[in-house]
Amino acid sequence: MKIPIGPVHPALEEPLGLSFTVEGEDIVDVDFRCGYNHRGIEKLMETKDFNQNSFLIERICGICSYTHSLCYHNAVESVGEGVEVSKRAHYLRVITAELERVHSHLLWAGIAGEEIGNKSLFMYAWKHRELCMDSLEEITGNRVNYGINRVGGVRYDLTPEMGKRLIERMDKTDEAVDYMANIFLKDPMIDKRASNIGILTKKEAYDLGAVGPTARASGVKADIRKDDPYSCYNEFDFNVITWDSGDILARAAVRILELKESAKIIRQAVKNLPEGALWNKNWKIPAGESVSRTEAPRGEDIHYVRTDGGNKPYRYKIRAPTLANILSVPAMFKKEHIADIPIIVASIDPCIGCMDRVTLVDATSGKRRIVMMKELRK
Amino acid sequence: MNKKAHEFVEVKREKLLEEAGRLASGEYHLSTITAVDNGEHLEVLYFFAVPEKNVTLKVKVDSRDAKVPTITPVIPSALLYEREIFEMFGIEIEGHPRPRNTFIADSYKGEPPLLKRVKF
Repeated sequence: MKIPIGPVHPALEEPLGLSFTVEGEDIVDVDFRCGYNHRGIEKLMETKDFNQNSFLIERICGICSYTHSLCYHNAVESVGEGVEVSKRAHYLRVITAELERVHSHLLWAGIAGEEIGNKSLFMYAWKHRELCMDSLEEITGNRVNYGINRVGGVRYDLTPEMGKRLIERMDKTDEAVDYMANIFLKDPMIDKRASNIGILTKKEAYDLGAVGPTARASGVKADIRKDDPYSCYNEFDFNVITWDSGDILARAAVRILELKESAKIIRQAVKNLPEGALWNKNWKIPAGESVSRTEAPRGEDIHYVRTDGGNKPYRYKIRAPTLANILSVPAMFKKEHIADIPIIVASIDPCIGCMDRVTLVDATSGKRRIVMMKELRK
Repeated sequence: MNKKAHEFVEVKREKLLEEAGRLASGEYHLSTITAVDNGEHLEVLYFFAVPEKNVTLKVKVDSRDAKVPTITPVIPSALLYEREIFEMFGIEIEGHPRPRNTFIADSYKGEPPLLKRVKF
């Protein structure tokens, strides 16, 4: 029997169509189709100038929007001789990027909790995510698309008072993270739903090019912040969290423990925030090309820009981390049960809202019936 | 900043498999594959990261003879990226194990959309 899942949910960035071949409850094969919400941003960017693109680029994603902005600015600022960006601007970018990672991972922890039926965990994670959103709003003026970056630096500064409040909020978040780490790693219910399920072996993760927490949970020590440091990340002291089991629990553990590392980076950045100008307004992008990689909350994000000396990119390429991770999803499903589909897909942290409607097709009768995700979770 | 060095290496189409295989013989990561339309010719770019540096392989192909050999058998993570350049630039991937549409709607009947001559 074949079970197609997805694909369309217009509010989310990456609707995904999955087609499962099942024997009874067991999944024997899975195929997928993406691109349902392809918006042609790469083509559109060729028609906008560098300042306009600075805003457009944040509209790629509603959760990890900032990492695209960071990657874009690092890419265009390093074409040819490069645009000089002050250290203070880099530090402010790091603070925003790490705050984004914290809110994204907390959002994920909540969704993962909900997928396995733990609604209190969902409420708890999202409650503490608000602290992070407050900090982002205070620093950048926005909760989602921050708009803090501009070519040559940043728009907004961090005052010492704001820094103090930020640290206070991070302390509170840290307490919540400890509490959640305890739940994720010790609760027997979560253990039953998450350990030894959806296993991605180290070899599979490596061969299929998995990135970010998905790769790290399978024991692949890959983190662009360490491997190819950008934006002064080499000046911060933090650890790359890896886990060996490669199951759902491992992916949860990696993300939860990473929250502590991000908090560590934010504290260092606020404490050691260097003096300097926020913005270098004397910039011009020469003809040339450049590649930039950043560590998004979901993994490696890579952008490539080709310029011709004009005020627009000649070609712009974006590869977001979910595309790199999606190849690993079929490997995770082998020999698992239908009931584990939601949490396995959620475990790579894609935009899972695209999965909230499911069509079951009975191969023998060809009859089609539509079931809601809720029914599937039962 | 302590960024790794980035190299752009031009390779002939015939040498692509050999060169990609050489990069993939040690520890490597294929970040993505893309192409640039320069009118007369297309450039296909393969973004690799190996421990000591980042390497981008550039393969120039004639627009009227836009094909490259597949590297998926050697590098499994290339599967989707190769499909993407096939759909977006119409570059034929010779020997691709599972060629089909992944990104563009089945109802799209126009030319590959990222070619410069295609206007929206």
